[in-house]
Amino acid sequence: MNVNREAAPRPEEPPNPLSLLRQLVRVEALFVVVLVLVAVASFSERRPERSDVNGPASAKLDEPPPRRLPMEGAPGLLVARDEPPTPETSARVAVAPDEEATERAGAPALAGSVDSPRRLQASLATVVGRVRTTLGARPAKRASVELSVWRAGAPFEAPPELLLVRTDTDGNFRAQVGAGELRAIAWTEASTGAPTLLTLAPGETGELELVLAPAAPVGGRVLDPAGRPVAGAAISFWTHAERDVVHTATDGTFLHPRFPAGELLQQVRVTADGFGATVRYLDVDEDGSWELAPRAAGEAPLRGTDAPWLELVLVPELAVTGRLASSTGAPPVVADVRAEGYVHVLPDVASLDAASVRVARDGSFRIEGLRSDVSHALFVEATGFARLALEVPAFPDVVEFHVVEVGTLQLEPETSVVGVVIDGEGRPVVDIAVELELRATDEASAHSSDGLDAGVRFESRTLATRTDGAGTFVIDGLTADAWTLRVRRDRDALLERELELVPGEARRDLVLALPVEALVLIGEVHDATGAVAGAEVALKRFGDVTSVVTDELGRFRIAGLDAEAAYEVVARGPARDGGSPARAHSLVWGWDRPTLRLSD
Amino acid sequence: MKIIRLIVAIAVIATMGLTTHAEQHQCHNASGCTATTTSNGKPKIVVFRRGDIVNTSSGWIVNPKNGWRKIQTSTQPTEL
Repeated sequence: MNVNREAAPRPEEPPNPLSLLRQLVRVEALFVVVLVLVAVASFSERRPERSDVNGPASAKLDEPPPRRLPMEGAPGLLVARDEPPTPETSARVAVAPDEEATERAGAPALAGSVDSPRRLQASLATVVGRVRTTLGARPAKRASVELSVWRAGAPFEAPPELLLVRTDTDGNFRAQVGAGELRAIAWTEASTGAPTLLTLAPGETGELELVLAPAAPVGGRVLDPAGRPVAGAAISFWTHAERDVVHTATDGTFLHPRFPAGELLQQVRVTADGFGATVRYLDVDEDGSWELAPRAAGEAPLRGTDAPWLELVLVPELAVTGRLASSTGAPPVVADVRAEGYVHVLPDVASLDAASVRVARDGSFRIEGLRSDVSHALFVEATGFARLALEVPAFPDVVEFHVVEVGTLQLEPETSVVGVVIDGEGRPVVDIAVELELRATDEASAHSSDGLDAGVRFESRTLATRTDGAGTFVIDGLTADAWTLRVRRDRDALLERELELVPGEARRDLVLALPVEALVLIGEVHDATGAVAGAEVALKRFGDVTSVVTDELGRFRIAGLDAEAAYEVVARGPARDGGSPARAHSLVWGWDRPTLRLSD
Repeated sequence: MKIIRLIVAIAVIATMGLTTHAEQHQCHNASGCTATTTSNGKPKIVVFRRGDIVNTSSGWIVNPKNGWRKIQTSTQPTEL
């Protein structure tokens, strides 16, 4: 058994609040440090915080490796292409008992999955809301309300569950949604409003009030590379609303009546069969002036003072085909192939162009819907085999749908690593990040970055996961290489280990002990009657750090904390019938022993 | 007191200028992220999708509280 236990003593007292500045001394010029010392002296009550955070707030949640990113062609958007949710068409969709008109997309759990009705019900929350106009604060009758829900613990690339409801004649709506992060946007024929965010726990009822303001109509024409009009192309302001989509007529023209004027720059997204997705940034001021931002340095913006008119030229679609096989020629049982590229949408901003498919039984695959003018990385994940990555170049000169054949990709047997993370007292550490970085440096290759091709590739050399409730972790699909293993809670690695893996090897003996100077936050959650078992305790510092659940005595334990910054801890009691869970909130240091008292 | 506050402000700005080199940040918020830039001398707030990447070398201001995470990619930061 290989135990990495540091012998550094536990600090007797809380560290000096200026300790972070000592780190700064190592990297910054001396004069800056002197100035900052003066700054700290004037704000001695405040301690510095670090900016980076790790991982979502859910135990057993696998932190996706950096190379796994969200796909642009999300299922919800594909549904939207087929049925644009205009007020005229949204009345055709299924009607829920307490909703006048409801449309769901990307919500497999709600559309009939293997979950039992009781379990399904337990993962739902309720949202009630009111939509009104800014003019006279009148209720917005029959307004469309888009509810996008990202479930807690869902993978990074998972698309939101989309639900479209309509308000009643009093401007009210009510819907059951999945528990998680909710974004609500409402619109009527000629008005729309800013999105409202809400986090809902299972069984919780959340309330919303959405305010609509007059919107700006945006017209234009969609063309192919030869200048011919493209009919049936879908246009949305997709950083604002997913489902508010219009389609081009036979002459390629469109008129979208609802751009949120005077607020923020929004992304205009155009998709059409046979073409890659196009994204542009549009800004419409309240005085009617507008600007279509350039995508690359040297490109001129398009400006106007009348109603915006956009000429949007699409690029041909790229498809990638190939086949997977083992060294014996047999296809893998289960495999996924994903293509990722980045395209400039502003000079210093890149948007993801991606698609993924499940490989067929014979090992063949075909990925469609990509832009042909940017290069893509192709990632292969097959059960029982090592991950595979290769480059698909850009084809900037093609003028129509293009297919590239990558041939047969041979899969190598995987190696895997299994272990447990324990704290300085030998107790398992729950929900802490474990990363593996490939030490070989020959994988990174030069990428083209011509035109709109951002040439960005995530380092596919780093994989990550999080420990489960027993402190254990599994990383599989590894190649037989030299790896560096790191355990990380917040930003800096708490420990590091070098691993040499041989083909087909499964390392199952890793015991990773955090250094004793890594702090352990121990606390309890109480309500008016005493300790609360099963309460969710979320730790935050510039975002979610981790989330754990109290034991039968109402206790929780979070190991591996930084001594140099305060954390926000939020406790939420179990769901209650007819009401929202009780909550408690506190600011703590890693050495604190807080008792959080729940209240309504 | 005003002098001290002025020194504090200068110190913070100087520190930010030296610590926020050309970095790439990716939007990790499920419901998107906002970032700020300057256009014609006026600040502009821009909405991004989850997965979008910005390079801070030309003046983009991002805040981790808005869902931005610093990332490592295989390109030089100036290429983005």
